[in-house]
Amino acid sequence: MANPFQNLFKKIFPHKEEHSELRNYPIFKTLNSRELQFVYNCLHHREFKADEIIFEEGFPLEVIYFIESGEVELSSKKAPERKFVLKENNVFGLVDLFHGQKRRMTAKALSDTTLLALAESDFKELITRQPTLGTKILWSCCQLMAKTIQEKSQVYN
Amino acid sequence: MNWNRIIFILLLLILIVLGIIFYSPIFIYLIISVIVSYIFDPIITWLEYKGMARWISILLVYAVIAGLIAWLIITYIPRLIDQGNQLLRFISRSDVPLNQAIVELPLISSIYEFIQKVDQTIPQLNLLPQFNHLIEIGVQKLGQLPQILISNFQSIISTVALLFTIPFFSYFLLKDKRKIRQALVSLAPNKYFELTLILFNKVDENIGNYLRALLLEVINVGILSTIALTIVGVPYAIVIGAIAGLLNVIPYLGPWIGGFVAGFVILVSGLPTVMILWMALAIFIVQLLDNYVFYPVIVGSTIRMHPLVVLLTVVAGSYFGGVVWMLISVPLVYMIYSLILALHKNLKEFRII
Repeated sequence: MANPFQNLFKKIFPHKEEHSELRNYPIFKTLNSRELQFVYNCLHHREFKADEIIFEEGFPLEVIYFIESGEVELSSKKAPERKFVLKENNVFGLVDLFHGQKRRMTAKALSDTTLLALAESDFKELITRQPTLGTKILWSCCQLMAKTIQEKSQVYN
Repeated sequence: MNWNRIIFILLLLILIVLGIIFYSPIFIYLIISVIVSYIFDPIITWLEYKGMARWISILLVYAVIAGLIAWLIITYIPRLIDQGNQLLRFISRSDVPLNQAIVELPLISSIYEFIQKVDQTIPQLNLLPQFNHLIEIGVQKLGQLPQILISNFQSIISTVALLFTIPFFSYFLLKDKRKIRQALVSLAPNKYFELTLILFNKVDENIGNYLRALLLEVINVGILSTIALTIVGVPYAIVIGAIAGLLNVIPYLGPWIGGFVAGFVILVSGLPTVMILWMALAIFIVQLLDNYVFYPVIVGSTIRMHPLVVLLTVVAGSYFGGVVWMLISVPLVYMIYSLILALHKNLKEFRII
């Protein structure tokens, strides 16, 4: 970094990495900037007001959501006492995507929330068209789920 | 609902109507551009995932197509001019008047003789003068053709100029495909966001696949028919093959119409009538190959339309807007049908209806 030529080069060609904020989400953590661009091209920005329902239990699933800002509450009618609150840089809908194609919980925005939505069809296309990117994302998904399982159950501890 | 809101919506509606009126002349070109962009999208997306920027891949594809068209023009224009000259010589033969020349054609002359016979048997009928009159009208129309071309010179030029805008439209549609999609989906309210996305993807996929399959089918049947007709020895095999390929857009009926066109050409050009049998066999083999070998590979499984529905659609299309609508109507009805199927299924799943 101390190399003056390198500094000069950086001044002449300022390289700002785009969409690096996507790396805050665990499943995009390991992607390089070109792969992030592909992911970014598929994302939809959605804004939800406080107390607005994002999706309801039992409905078909098409997108998974990434929380950019705000808070989201997940609840289920089957077990009303269990409620999760997710904050920014979290993903929800991922387990349902791999399991059953139906929403098992109702999501509600607790405060004004901005979400990024990734459609299932786009997700599948990304994975099949860019196998390296796909492997990275799926590996991260597995890590995320393994971590969740470990947190929830004490069996393997 | 307050007044400001109502006034705003009203003004917006007026603006939309005015916009539709203003842009209506170019809708057809926009639709053609959308079709073109659907056809090229898979190649460009493939190149994009291989690491090429979208705009470069579009220009590359354009360059290849321009080269192809140039090659076709260089190869076929001389032949086209040749055939045109033949036709002109036929029309402007100095030794016999045109009416005579047309009557001398084998098909027409046999009809002429038949009518003469009928007139002799039933003298009150007087069919012959009427038939002559019909031919005269036809000749007149044929003579007016250059006149029509010249008097509509300006509109033809402007149409051609607009045709050249299609690649530009398609360029932007292809380049900003994702942005356009995101912008359109972002219009949907939160409640219907997922539904909109599902429908959008479904329609996008269905229409894209269908249009591309249609194009491949047209090219495939066109080439196969040309080869088959050349082997049999039908004149103008390329033109008839192209027409047969285009007519294949109409399921069930298209091949028959193509066969009739070929049969008519054989009759007019004075070849032995047995040739029709060979031509029918050739077209039959082409259809067999297409239906059982190529169609399942190219198109795969699609929603089948009942033959009766196809027939009614084609007839209605011909009443609505002539030959062009005959060709367009079946794909159009198919696409609307598949859209409604998807809409119904998803509206039910999302418990809206």
